[in-house]
Amino acid sequence: MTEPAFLDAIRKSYDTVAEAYVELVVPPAGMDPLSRAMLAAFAELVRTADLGPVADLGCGPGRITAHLTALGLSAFGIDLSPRMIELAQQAHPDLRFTVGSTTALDLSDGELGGILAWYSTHHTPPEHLPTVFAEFHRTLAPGGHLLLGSHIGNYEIRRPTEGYGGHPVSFESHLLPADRIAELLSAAGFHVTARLVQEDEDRPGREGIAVVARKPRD
Amino acid sequence: MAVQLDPQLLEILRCPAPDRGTLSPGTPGDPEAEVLTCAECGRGYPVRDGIPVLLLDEAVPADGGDPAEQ
Repeated sequence: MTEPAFLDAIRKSYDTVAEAYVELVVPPAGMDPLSRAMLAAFAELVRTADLGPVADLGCGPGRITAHLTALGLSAFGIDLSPRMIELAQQAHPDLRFTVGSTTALDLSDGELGGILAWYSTHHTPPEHLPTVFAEFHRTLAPGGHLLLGSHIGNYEIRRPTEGYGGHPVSFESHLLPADRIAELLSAAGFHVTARLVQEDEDRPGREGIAVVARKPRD
Repeated sequence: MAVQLDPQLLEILRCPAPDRGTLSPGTPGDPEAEVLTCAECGRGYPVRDGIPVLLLDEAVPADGGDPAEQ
């Protein structure tokens, strides 16, 4: 049994850029206020429902995993890139991290109180998103919440050859419309409760979305 | 050294293969091995520096063959 080939490009790219990423990407404290507000609202929803721990899927160096922990959640992180997870574990020795894939999650059914997928799913080709969202749905407890952050667009595919200060990368970024992301989540069984669309401060003309969705209780 | 994992994490971790078996530290032949073994399919997943690598591509099949040939 093997994994889809695109995963290898994501893993290798983030292994390569891991140190530069930590240096260049703003930590949660430096994020724009709306993004932080979405994370805080998600944390409150998950705390109130109290259904289980939170998985930070595509956690990178684990800074948002730690941010969620500081907001009172029991959070752990999963990322495809072993180097990212190594950095996450070094920086946050008290938190738990595993190397895993959103296409076949290393988690049991219905045990998670929440899932954060913060700017990680846009590297997944759209034809694989139903698999990924089905995995989110499978692992969340009924009543559990998902917060998904993503770049959005009009089905553009970006294939950068370098990133994070000139390091070689080979992943793709798939920019789906906000409506398409919501549709795919609904098709996976989620009830989409809120969407925030905002300008990308660093990339003029581009937008990002934060979607809050719930796995229905029935 | 045997695998030391947070018991709460181990409780919700599962094999990423479709059987979703529970994972136990060590292998049937070596309880001290730095591996998590699936109770259903027998795949073994490496634990490197205390971090489980739960990827199908890196799993060692139950018969101990090459993961790339699965």
